[in-house]
Amino acid sequence: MKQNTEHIAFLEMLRRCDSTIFKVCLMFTDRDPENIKNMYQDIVCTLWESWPSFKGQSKENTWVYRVAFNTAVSQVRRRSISPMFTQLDDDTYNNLAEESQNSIIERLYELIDRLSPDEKTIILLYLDRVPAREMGTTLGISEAAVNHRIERIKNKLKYLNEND
Amino acid sequence: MKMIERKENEDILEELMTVWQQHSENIEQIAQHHDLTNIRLAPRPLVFSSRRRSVLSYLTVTLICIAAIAGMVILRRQYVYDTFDLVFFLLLCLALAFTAIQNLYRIYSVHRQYASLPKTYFYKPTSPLRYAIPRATVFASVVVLFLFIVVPVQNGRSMSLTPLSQRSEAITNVSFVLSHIK
Repeated sequence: MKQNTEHIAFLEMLRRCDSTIFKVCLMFTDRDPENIKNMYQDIVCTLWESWPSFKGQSKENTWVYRVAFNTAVSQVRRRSISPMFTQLDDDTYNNLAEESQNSIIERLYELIDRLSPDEKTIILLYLDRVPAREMGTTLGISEAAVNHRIERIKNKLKYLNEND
Repeated sequence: MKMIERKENEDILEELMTVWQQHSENIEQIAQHHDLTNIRLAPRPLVFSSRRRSVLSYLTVTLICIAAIAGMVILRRQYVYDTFDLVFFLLLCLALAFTAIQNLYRIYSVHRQYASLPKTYFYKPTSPLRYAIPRATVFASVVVLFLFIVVPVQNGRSMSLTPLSQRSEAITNVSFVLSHIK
């Protein structure tokens, strides 16, 4: 009974934060449907593992961002897939891959792909208009450090844009 | 000049944000159609989190190292016959002690309040543990040295049973060899 309640609560949270996970997947993969799917599964598994430790002290979306970033960056590092617990439909991942094939969006990802993993985490939060204070909470750094890094990323993006 | 540069930077980010806004809305639409009813989650008792896995492996390595050091200290009279053996054993103990302490620190890191990867990325180099680890290693090696040289072994060929002059000679030899290794 408790198991069922936990499942339902988790799935409800997943429904609310699904787009956040997709954004992280698109940001940290090469936008190949299979890779998006693998990363999505990895993130969902990690979220499920960590779900009992979520006490609601931070916003749900902030917590999801934090876990998703950790999983995504570590998956990028080890380049392997964890055991699958989930069974997912392929259409969603194909749609996501198609969505990111638009020429303007491809250009956006081209620029973002050249940033380091920690810069990617910041730019994703920035593009999603997350306030600097909340970004600091998500990343475990101060608000001033967030603003400093944003400025550095802006310079880098400008340089990359001009030198292409 | 700085103002112009700042303005240009704002422009590029504004451009990116406009593109992202549209992209984000499309992603949200796709997410709304995502069928989550098919997701099968592992039953809670079977979920063995990566954190617990890491802690278990670090703990195993630490225990193996401590057991090896203890074993070496107990059995030293069977193996340590000359200065070379002693130096070799000390270096081995030092390496084992360092590994044990390093793994204990890793267990601590796993249980840190914000043990997130971004936190690791932006980890400040001011943690007192960064200074504590090398000091603890030196302390551990001194303890091992003390056990080797001072603690007597029954019916054994321990240095504690040798005259004081010979002991000091052996220690001088060890220092001589160590200084040449450096």
